[in-house]
Amino acid sequence: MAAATFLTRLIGVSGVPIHRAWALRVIALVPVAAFAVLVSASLELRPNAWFRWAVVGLGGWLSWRGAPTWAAIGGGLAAYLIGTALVR
Amino acid sequence: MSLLVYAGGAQFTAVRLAGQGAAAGLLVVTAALINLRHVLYGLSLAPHLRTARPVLRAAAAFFLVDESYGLTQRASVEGRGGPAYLLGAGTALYLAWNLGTELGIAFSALLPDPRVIGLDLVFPLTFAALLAPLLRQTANRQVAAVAFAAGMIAVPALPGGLGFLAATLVGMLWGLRTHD
Repeated sequence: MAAATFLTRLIGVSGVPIHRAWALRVIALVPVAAFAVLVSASLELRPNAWFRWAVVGLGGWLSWRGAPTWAAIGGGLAAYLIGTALVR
Repeated sequence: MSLLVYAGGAQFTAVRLAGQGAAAGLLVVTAALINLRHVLYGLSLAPHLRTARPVLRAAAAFFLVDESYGLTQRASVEGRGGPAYLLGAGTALYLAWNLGTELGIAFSALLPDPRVIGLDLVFPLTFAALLAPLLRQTANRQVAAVAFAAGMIAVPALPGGLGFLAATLVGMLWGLRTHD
């Protein structure tokens, strides 16, 4: 399992240089598509899940406004803790 | 397993499969499938790692996980990324992952449900924060929207990491289509 996991990482890192324009364009889209899927995979389509969506949206908005990654995460977590404390 | 494999999704799946009596070969194939996204990550970072010696590149590759990729990719856009950055971020995450695993095992009975205190939100918050600056380009917004929607459908529907891989590829292909 360790070897299989390591190989998937090594193959990409050691890949041959890519020069074709369309391939470079596809590779440039990896972070955009992958990060979007990583966010969506952690959220659920349930009526009472809206607050979690809002918290994640807040983190994204903070980053959009120029906050560093740690501040966006911290801001989102603080909003979640304050929000849930107010509801209780 | 955490020390040698260092891949959260593959580890969780392997433990579940092993508990069901799955053969060792199935665990290996499943781990490879779940981690296929790392090939895409590696290809994406390869231009920033090309100057590194093969040994350093291989060492950096060991630490290539979702989070270290995200941080290194963002740093590369800002002109700070490279093999040393990936190695540093990866080592820090590796230590935190294994320390957290040990603490979790030792104190699991004392810890509250992570969902109650919002700890499970750290993962989507991290990637929302890494994604947001990339959305300043209109074309990227479309790609993210398509990949997000595809992820909502494919990730719960397909086993292992195939849903993640399929949704990512759908988003990338959409971007390629709209670019031409």
